[in-house]
Amino acid sequence: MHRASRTAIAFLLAILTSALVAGGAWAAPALVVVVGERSGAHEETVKAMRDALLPRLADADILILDARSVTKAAFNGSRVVVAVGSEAAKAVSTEALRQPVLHTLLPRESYEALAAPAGGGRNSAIYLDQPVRRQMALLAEALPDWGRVAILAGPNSQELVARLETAAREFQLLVAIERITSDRDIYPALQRLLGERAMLLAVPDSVIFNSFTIQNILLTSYRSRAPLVGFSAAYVRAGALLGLYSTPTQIGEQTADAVKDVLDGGALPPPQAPRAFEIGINQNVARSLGITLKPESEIAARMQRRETVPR
Amino acid sequence: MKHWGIRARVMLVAVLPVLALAIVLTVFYTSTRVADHFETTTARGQAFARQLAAASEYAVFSGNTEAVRQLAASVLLEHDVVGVRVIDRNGETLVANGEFDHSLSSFTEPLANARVLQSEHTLRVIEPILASRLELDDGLSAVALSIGSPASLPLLGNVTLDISLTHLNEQRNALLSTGVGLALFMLLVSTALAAYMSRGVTGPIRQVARAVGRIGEGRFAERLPNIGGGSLRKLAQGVNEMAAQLAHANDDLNRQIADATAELRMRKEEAERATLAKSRFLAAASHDLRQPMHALGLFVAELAQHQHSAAAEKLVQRVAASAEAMEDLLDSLLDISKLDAGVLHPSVRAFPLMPAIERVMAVQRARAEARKIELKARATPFWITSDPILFERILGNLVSNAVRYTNDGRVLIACRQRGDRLRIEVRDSGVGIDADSQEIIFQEFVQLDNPERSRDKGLGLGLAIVHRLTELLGHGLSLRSRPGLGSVFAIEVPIASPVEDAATDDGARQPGDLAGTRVVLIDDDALAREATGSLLSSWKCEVTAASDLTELLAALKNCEPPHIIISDFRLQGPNNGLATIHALRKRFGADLPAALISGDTGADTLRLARNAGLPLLHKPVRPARLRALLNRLSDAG
Repeated sequence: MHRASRTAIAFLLAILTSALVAGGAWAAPALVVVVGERSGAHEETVKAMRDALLPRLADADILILDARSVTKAAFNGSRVVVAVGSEAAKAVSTEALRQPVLHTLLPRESYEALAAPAGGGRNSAIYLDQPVRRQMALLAEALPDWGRVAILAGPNSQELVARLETAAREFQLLVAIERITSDRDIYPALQRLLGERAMLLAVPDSVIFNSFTIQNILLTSYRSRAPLVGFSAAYVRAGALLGLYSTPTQIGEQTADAVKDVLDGGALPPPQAPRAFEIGINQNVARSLGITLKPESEIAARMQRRETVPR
Repeated sequence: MKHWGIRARVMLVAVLPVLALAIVLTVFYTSTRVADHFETTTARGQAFARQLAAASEYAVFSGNTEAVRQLAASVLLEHDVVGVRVIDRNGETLVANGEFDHSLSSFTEPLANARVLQSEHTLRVIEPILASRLELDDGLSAVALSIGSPASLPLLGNVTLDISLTHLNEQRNALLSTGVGLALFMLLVSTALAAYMSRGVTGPIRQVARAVGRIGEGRFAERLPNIGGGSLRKLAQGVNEMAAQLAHANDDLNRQIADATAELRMRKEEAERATLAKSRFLAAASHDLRQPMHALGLFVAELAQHQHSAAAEKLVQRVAASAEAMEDLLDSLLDISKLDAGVLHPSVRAFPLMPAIERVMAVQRARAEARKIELKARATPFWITSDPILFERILGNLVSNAVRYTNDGRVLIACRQRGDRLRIEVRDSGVGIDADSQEIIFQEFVQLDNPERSRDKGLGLGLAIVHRLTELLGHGLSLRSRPGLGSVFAIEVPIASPVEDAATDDGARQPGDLAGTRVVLIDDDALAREATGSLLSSWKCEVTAASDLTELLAALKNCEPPHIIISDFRLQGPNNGLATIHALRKRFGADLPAALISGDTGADTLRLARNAGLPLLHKPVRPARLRALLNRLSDAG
């Protein structure tokens, strides 16, 4: 009796220990991050997320997957999934996941084009698009003398342009809109738009504003001595006078906050625009156009105040 | 090429590779240069087109035709650009300056890719005007722009450049002509150079050829100097060795020839000596016999003139006959030696044949009758061309032989015409001659039926004389005979047309009257002198005889000049008969008739007499002959 029971207990203990150990080894990461590419903006975003999550989550708790090699099994046991970029978003949305999914670093358009999650889990997004009011705030703060904003509306940006129009009126800015369907009509539309002094606001409609057309639009606006306001640092470098954008780091930090909330038991925040932003100024263009601007920090501070101060 | 000499071959070897190389290089480099030029032009055209496309991008984007036109105009300034056209994305022509080649297709829609078209005179370059791409290289822009990537091409329009190829064509032609000119020039230069340098090759070879030629002409001493090395040296050495061998062989041959010639000469001289010995023997023999014969004949002739008893008369006749027989024999020997000496000169003329035949028959008739054989001749009207005396001798000998060798039957002389010649046959039904002997019977002293060499049967010279005479006269001699069936000897003579008033001089003259003819007689032989003198006296001549000139002159001192001189040839003392006659003629007149008598039948004597123009009688002299001669001389004198 002694020998048999001792053997049985030892056997059970062994199983438990191994189960515990194995279970410990197999403990699923709390956070799964799916990235579209292992470099550039995505990498920056993921790094910022990690850094922000660090006290809360260890590196071991974060699994980073490539969007191209996503499997259902990888998500087992995780509490929250983050998809970085449109590609990752697409990859993740095809998996029927139960846990909450946060899409980040993608345009609003892309997010809204995603199919509804099939697994029952909720999803949300932090998209790239800046709030329309912020854009108008920038125009009002940076170029207060101008008072008129010109917008080229393409086939993909009808709704956005409508919102921009509304926001512009709030800031007492005159709005001129030209609606075009293809890049062929850009020049005539610009001629019409920029006939009077106006600020040209770029919208992320790839039909109009893409790497092939940007050069000519810049040239045209330059020749009309109209400042172009772009939505990325690249625009500023290319020749836009001003640029309003959020860096991947800022987005990553914001994403980390949302993840923390979820891990703490809270719900996913609703789809939102980026909280933090940056302003870029091209001093050369400013000089060429003969425009003097307040320093960036000042403009940014004033814009920030507008946002936080309730109307 | 087979018939080319070494010079031509060397030239070909030297020139052909160079020519081939020149052609290949010219073609290659000309074509590559032409291609290069074309490529350059095309590249230039494309560069201009691209530049124009890039420069006019914004102008086309903004529809700024003026700017485009200015840009186009600047491109048109290039020397070979003849036409510039810019079309926008809808195919509308914004600018069209210059001239366009209508043979090339133009496009209504702008092309998205560059194209190059070519016609004979024009190169068309079409470049798309593309919106330049600005890399918005931050992630956000890329991300922001990644949705709905533009499906449409950033094609803003087309630039079309027409480039004239005239200049290029001119350049190409210039290149070609330069290339060809260069090739020809190189060909000429290389030909000249080859000609010059080939001398180094052909020179030695031709030297060898000339040397070989000279050796071939027989100059075996010819040698080549050392020329070049290797095969040339071997060739020269080989030629030299060949020449040495030839020289050696030639020397050998010459030596052999010399040896053979020396031997032949020796033999010939031997033969000549033999012949000469024979002639001398004949001459000596006949001469020694003649003196006594001469005297004998004369004495017998004189004896016959005296009265004798019947028995003595008979004896005298027999003696005379014997003497005559001996004289005949001696005559035959004389004839042979005359023929041998070659001093017999036939006097050929036309004469009737029949009289000669009759005379011969007359001579042989008695013998024929004695042997009881028939001697006949067929009458012939022909005249022939020959020497009458010699012909009679021939015929006489043949008939004589025929009679001698026929025991019974007959001897027939017949003639047959053969074209322009007459074949005279002497046929006998005698013993015949077998084939083996038909050659040798014509040799001297050969008698087939006279093993004991009886002098009754002659000396065996008859046919030898006939043979030589027929050869001398050019008459053909033939023999047909079979033992036991008789023989036919035939000679062929040319037929002559009868001549009027033919001199039938056969040498027989009527004896004239010699009475009172003063004859000088010189002979160192007392017997002969006496005999001759006595005979002459019997003919009523006045004879003055002496043994030499001195004596004669003394004897003639107080006499009247002589009419005729008869001198023996060989005289004692320093003078011979010729000199004596000469001296007498000097004394008594150059045209004094004279004659020589000699027992010497040698050729020299005959010649000397002939040269002096003096008749020569041989001892023994027949009295009739002497008389005839005297008559002739006195007639002439």
